[in-house]
Amino acid sequence: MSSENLIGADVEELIGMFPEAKLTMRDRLPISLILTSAILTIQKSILNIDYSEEELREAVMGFVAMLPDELKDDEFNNELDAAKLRRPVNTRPEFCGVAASDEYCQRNSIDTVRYVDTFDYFKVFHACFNLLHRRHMLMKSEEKEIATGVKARGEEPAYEPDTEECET
Amino acid sequence: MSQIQKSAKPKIQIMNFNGWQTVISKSLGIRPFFSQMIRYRVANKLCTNIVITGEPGIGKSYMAIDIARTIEGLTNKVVTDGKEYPAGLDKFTVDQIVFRHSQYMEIIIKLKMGRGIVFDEPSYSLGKRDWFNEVQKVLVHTLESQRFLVHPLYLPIINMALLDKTIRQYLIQFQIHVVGRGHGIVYRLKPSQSSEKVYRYQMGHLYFRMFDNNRCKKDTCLGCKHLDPCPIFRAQYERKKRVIQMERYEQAKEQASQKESLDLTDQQIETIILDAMQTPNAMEFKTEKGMLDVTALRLYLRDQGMSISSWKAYGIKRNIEKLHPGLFGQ
Repeated sequence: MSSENLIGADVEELIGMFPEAKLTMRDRLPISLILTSAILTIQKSILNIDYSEEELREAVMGFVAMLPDELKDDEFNNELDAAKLRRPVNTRPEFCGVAASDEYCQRNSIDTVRYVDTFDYFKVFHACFNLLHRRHMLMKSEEKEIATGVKARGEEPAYEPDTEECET
Repeated sequence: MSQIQKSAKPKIQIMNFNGWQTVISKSLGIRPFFSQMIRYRVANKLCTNIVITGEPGIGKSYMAIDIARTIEGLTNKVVTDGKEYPAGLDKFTVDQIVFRHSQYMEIIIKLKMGRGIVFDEPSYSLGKRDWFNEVQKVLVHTLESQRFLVHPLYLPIINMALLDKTIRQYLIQFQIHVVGRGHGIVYRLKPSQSSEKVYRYQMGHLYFRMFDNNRCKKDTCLGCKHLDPCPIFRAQYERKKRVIQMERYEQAKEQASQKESLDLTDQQIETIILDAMQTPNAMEFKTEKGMLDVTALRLYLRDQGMSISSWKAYGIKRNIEKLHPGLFGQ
């Protein structure tokens, strides 16, 4: 683009051309601390003597909500899909603390079971950890370069690095 | 509680990187991170000087050459001027390995932009002991300015302290410390902008198997009877090195004999000259005026493997003429 066109260019076009022209916040949230705190909350809810699935659900979904969308990848979405489950919920009416019998429910056309879509929250938690690992936020693996010392025969797939890999 | 997931086996595969078989595993952090980074730096015309350190005989030079071969890659099949050049040949040639500053200066002019140079045993040329030499100053300046020509430079040396201070503190970007055969640890060197400190960050490990191990299983060419006809790259290097080493030994021998002659006392030299004058060719030592010829004296000593300064020769002349006046005169 010539310098004349720069003057009439859209803001989006200009940002595309000059990616360094972005808002930079010097003070940032201590995200590692916040995520650690959320993980500890989940652990606490698991180990709570009065174990409550609701508490675990809230803790895990709170943790998931903290993950930025840009961080999430297809593998994470696939793992979330795999964590989905349908759970039967008892819908029998109760009379003075006693559940209605099957005959009563059939006679009055009352469904005894209702299915709700939910998640296996342990699996969701695991998916979050896998995601963080994939994004190199859990462990820093030691870089290694291993050369076999043999020329390629042409059968091997070509190695194509991610662009971010080289910009060190 | 859901079932505990079985551990997934890490994916590991052999891939083609620049024509060479390379092990890749994303989950284990195995990738050609260093070669890729050097290629990136060369493509972006950044200065890239790499020092390879390690104890003598551990394989520093081989490692430097192997890294350079990996980074430069192999040729594709090319047809130029009716000539067909086969694929799979090294782009990095043995000419890019230099041992002397003259070779280095020659190759730096000749070589295309982006091609690497291995300056083997640079302590002979870039050593701190010779920092006062004019040649040394020229080399330091060339190292500073060679980034304009974009030649990644590999310097295998026993210890970085053997290099000139300017070079080791400000002109080196990476250090590979070789800890075992084919195993090196990569460090990024960053000099402080406000003090003399140099910061080192560990980047990772390099594991380079002996190159061309499918063609020759020997781990060294030293003592190999097939060295002369061998077409393998490391044999070509060893042959080039052998020639240089022999020249260096000859040079060292000459310097040693010169040093020894300097250590002789004036009296010992006088005795040698007087003995020589007793021989039938004694007249050769006298000038037309019958005095002791200093040039003849120095030439005679040089033939005997001794070199003395003109000042010392005149001192000996004075002594002999004074102590043995009968030998001289018309």
